[in-house]
Amino acid sequence: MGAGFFLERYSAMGHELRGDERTKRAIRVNTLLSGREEVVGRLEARGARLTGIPWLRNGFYVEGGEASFGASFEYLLGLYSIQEAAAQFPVEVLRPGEGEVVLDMCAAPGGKTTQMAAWMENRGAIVAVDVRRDRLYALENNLERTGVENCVAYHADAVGLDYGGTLFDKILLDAPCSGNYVTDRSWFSKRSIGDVEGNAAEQRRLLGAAVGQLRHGGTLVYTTCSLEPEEDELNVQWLMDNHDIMLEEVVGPGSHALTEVLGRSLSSELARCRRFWPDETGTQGFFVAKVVKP
Amino acid sequence: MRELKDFLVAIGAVYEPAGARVNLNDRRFAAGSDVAAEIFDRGRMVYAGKLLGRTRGDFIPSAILLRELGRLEGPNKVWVDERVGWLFACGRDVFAESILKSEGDFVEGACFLVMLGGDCLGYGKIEISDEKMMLKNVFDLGDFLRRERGIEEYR
Repeated sequence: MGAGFFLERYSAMGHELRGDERTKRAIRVNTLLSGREEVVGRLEARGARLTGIPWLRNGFYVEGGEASFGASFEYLLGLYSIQEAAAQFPVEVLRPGEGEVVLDMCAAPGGKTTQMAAWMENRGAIVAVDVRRDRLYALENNLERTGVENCVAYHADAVGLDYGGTLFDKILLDAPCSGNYVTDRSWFSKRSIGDVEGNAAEQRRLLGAAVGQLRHGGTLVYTTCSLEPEEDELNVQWLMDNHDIMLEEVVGPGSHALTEVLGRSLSSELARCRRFWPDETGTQGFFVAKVVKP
Repeated sequence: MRELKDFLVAIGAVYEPAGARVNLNDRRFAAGSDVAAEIFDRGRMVYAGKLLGRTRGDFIPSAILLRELGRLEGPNKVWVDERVGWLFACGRDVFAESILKSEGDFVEGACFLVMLGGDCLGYGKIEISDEKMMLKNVFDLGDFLRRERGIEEYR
């Protein structure tokens, strides 16, 4: 289908994108093991320049420095993780707290899992599930490196796993998605609308299961790094049409989600979700919805 | 957990992890009560709480356990500078002349944490030959990068 097809879609949604936008390198300080000031001081002593990301609690843009940010003492010691700025946002919306029981449905490679553990100060429990064994090795590596002690991880389809009767206070569904061109230079050449629709169907299967695992009063954050409405607004509309849920306002950078898209008029409540457009936020494309089960 | 006790003796540490012990193939975990309550399918479980280490012949402590031991008084430790520390993190051994400071007796077979300031980079075992002593690298934090490369190749 190529770049033209998708860029025209984005144009119809009000964004004239070039198709070559890139995101800045970002890290997240791991407050389980260190403080913001300590990590900033240590990396600046190695010649790096750090700029706090105003809408994130522990996120920094990083430049320069004498060594790769993925191969420094501080990285090996688990004092920070490399995590794209927009990808740090969903956990800030979910706000998992100490003592809560949280489900991370598509957890690997674990960037958001370790971020949640830091918010929870290693208390309570995170149940992290992923269907791909190869990606779970990365999750296990990240849990150990960053000192996470409150996570139980399973190799399973999050829909089919027997959770032993647990209903969760909070659920993060960072769903497998089509991704976006900002973080994948070959994205346009390998994606088709068929992929998008296939992913959207899988996401609806996961969304339905997520609502079933959420306790009444609990919060679900649904997020993708896709710019395609089928995986974002249309899926949340499907959730509203088929489950007893409420949408809460997501406050942050970017734009309100779309309520008129692909020739469809959606619920005005969809505007409570948030869209990250690369030309607006300087990040990869992202979508975040905050769902409460009454 | 016999293997852990043997390691703690070799490194001169007194340490008792809190929580229930969970064995998962060759890995040993300690799980607090909130985590233990979420263990419902051992067949599919791949991680549970605090990773203490792995049993591959000898017990190899995790980075989490080494970090805790590095903060305690009592374990055998050597301190090195940043250059030697980086070489150690790349898998090299530590020679006696590179040790800035130490705590503990250098006897054959004893284990020592390798410290860069307040940070533990791993540990090694004392080897003595021709009256020359060195700390043979057993585990270092560079293992994370080697594992990440391994995961990429697995994919």
